[in-house]
Amino acid sequence: MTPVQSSSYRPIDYDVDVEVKTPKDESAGAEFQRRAGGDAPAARELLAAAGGTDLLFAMQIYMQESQLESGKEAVLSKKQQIEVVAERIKTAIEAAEKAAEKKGFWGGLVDKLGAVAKVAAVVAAVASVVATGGLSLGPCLALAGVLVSAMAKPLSEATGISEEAFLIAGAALSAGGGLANIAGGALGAAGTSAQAGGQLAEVAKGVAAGATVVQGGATAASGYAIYKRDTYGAKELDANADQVEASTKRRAMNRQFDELVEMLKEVQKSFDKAKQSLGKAIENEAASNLTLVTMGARA
Amino acid sequence: MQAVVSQAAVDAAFNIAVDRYEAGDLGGAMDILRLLATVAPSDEGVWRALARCHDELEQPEVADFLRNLSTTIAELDPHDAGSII
Repeated sequence: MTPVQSSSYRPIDYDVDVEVKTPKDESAGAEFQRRAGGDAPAARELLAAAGGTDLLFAMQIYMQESQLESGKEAVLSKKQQIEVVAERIKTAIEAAEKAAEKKGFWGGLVDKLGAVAKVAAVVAAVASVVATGGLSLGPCLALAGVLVSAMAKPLSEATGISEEAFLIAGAALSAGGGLANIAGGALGAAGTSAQAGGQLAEVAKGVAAGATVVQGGATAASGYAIYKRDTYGAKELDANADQVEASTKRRAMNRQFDELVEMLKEVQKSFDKAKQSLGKAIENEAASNLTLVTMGARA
Repeated sequence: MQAVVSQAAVDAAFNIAVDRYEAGDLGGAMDILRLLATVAPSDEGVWRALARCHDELEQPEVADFLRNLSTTIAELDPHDAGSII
């Protein structure tokens, strides 16, 4: 009996290359799952919303104002300046230590990343106050994270802002009232609820103080304070030596402020590249859609 | 302070970051994720993805820091969350 063959019969092609798909490494790609409904054009909002340049500018203005403000403390006696700053530093250090123990927030990061994380915390806290008119902890923490991410380098080429730079900057901000305001007064200015105030203040102090868990005393010089690796106690200084020291340290302070601004500039570059990338993706999607529409019209 | 961008915008940008990551452009993905982290700090997925990038750069300390940060932000009172830019 002759087999009946349909006109649509096609012989099986055993030479077809069947692609064997390797299962995705879920552990590596789990974080990069596409989100539903996220079409490229919707990202256009971000191009308008992200004003990193404003943040940098505001930060620079704040630093200049801090320097002017801290200069007013020069009218106090040297000893009074030392006492005021030493007390702020001591409070900040105690708060930072408590926050670190309680939340485990900084963990071992401070020891490993050291200066970068510390400076990030200081810069973020100050920037938060500048940008929001008060302390808003979420954005403050977020900016600290972004700064750490932007400034992180592979271990083999680890560089970073020196710990000395942080100590000087942190002390200067403290002397100018920056950190003290962030840790205390700014909370009231931001109008945070009393209920949240307790926990917020605790963590805010930890963040604002960064990892100022370094033991040290402070020597006030024309409103700026310099940490030294010794005890909290104030030191009696010779008046003439003070003046020479003040001038030298002011110059060092200005250099360190410049380093902090450079840090924000790195973040700014990252933001600019992100916006370029987003803009390009939006354009590509629009061009692709236009092509489809044109093809559809021609069909 | 409330977030200044919609969730749709965040999701769209996140997907573009995924595209960059899948194309092997780790730096490009990270730039977008950092921007997102600043405008939508409460979005844990953004922090986890950024942390993963640092894992791939052999920077586990940074990665752990970012994961801890994400958890801390998530535990904040909503009144204290929001965007800085």
